[in-house]
Amino acid sequence: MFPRFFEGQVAQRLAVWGAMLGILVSLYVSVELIHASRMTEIGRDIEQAGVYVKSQVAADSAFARIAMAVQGDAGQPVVETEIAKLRDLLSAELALIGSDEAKSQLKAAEQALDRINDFRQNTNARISALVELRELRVVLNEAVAQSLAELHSRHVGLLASDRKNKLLIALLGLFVIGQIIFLEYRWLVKPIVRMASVLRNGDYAVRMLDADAFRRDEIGSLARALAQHFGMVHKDKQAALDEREELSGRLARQDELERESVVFQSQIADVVRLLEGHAGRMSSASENLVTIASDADLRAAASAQTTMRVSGNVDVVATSIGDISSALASVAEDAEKTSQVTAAARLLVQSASDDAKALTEAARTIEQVIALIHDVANQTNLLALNATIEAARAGEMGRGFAVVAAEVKQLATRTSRATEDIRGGLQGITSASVRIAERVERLVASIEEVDEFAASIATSMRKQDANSRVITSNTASTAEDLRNFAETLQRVASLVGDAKDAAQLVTKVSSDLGKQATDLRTAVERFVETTQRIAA
Amino acid sequence: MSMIAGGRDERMSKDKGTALPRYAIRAYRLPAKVFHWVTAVLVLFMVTSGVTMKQLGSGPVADTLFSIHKTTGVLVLAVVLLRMLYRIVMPDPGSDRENYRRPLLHWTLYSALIAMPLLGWAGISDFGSRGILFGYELPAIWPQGAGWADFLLETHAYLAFGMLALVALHIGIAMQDHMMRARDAMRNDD
Repeated sequence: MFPRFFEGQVAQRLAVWGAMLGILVSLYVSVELIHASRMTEIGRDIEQAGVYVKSQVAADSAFARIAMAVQGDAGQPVVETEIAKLRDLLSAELALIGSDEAKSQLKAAEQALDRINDFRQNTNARISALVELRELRVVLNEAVAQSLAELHSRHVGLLASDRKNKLLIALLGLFVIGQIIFLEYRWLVKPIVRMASVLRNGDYAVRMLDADAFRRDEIGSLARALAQHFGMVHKDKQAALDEREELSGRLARQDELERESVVFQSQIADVVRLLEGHAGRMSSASENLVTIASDADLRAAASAQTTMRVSGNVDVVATSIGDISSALASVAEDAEKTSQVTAAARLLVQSASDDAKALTEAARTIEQVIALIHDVANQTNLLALNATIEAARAGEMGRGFAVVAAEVKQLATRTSRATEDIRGGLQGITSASVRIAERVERLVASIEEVDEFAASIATSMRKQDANSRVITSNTASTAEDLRNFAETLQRVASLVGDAKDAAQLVTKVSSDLGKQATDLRTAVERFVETTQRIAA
Repeated sequence: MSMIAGGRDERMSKDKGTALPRYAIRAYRLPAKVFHWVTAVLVLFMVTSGVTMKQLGSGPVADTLFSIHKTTGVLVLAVVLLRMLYRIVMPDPGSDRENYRRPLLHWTLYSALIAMPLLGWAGISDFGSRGILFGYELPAIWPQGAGWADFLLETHAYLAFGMLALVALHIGIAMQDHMMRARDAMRNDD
């Protein structure tokens, strides 16, 4: 029912209240004005009535004097004077009353007065006129009283309705004012008190304004503005809190990084120390290897010489047997000789067998050294891997270090490969020496057989021919074996030479490794120094 | 009013800082509005004419006012009866709660608006002055000279002011409902 522009804003509400009170006040004022004009009318009527009553009293006294004069037979002049006075009064009354009835009554009174004033008539006639006049006066007096009573009742009625109207308007006005105070207290005072409390208590009390925020009027706007303001305050607070948290987190991360860096530095230093130690140990191991290899070389040469000599002797045996077979006559003698030669050959073979055993022993020692080198190379490789990981964790600062670690790793790999080569050579040596031992044993057996046969030659002449054939073939096979043995020995010698080359390579590699380890330590020390300077 | 009855018009307020979605609430039908404001004007006129004529007491002006008051009273009675009929036959869309109706207050006001003219009519029937404007005369609804005239007309006057107090209450409550409306419109749409 409200027009569209009406939002219930304070000014609009005031206009409504003002219109309501204004209507009541205008009503009250118009009531008052009507009352005032009515009272003025009544006052005028009363004033008129007073004048009327006064003239009536004067007329009554004049009438009494006339009556006395008539009854006391006073002289004509006296009566005439009084009658003139009464005439004046009656004409005044006529002017006041003005009604037709009153006029006719006054006319009758005038006529009665004329008769009273007629001294030619007798006294009785005049007295009857006097009585007539008196009756007329009573009627007039009653009419006056009646009009006064009417005036009074009108006055009283007006006063009563005036009182009632004013009382009711005033009560209604009080009711409206009370309602205005009550409603405006609810609509204006209480929300303002709430807002003050919200402002005092801060953003967490802003929910108190939820109801006010949905109003259409200024209080609604104010409540929404306050809610928005406190929302912004809350957001700012949260942002500051977040920023502080992030800063402390960043500081903690930096601390962590520094601690990690210190740990990394000490770990790198340890790795470098170990690496240096390993390089040194590898260097000495490879030197040992070189020594052992040259020793093996020497022994192989000696063995070859010995074998050559055995071969020569075997050839001599063969020649002797040939001699035996061709010259049967000198068999016994030759058999005796053969026995001596075979004894010498057995001695030589024994020596060759010993040499082969020593060679096997040397090969085993080399293998141990190679295993040691291999272990060292593996450990170095592991260390290089660790160093690479640590370098990656150190990031930019560990890049130089990573390059060095890669070099170390490569060296370790190369070392490992070299030792593998050596091991291959050694295996060749070992198998060759085993084969030498086998053949030497077979040689010993052959020589013993030769010895046996030589012994039996002396006693068994008849089997000499067959035996000498067997011997010849056996000797030939022995010579073949010896040739094979010599070949094997030459191969061993070349293998040992290879091993020596490999050992020399290992030595070179390990010296490189030592240099790289030193470089690594220098890099780490520089890194440590730099990080400490940065940390400081 | 261009609003479609029962529809919601979601316009946004212009000021961004204190934006508040504004909902056009279910509007009264045009006849209901016309009835309301015609009744309001008539009641205002009845009160002022009644008080003035009583204050004048007698005289030609007072007599004319009496006639006008009686004639208008008959008009008020007719308008209010039609209005009640309209409200029963053609209720506004939506429930009283959605429309922020105060049915108790409204029907009390309707009763007062019916009782007032009837009391006045009975009073003048008893008193014997049923003449209205243009020389017509109202039919008597009360025996003439039954002696209740003063009582009936006094009650008429007191009831008039009682009804005015109700009208003041009605205005206050209507403003309250109108002002808080946005909140409940939003709450309903949650």
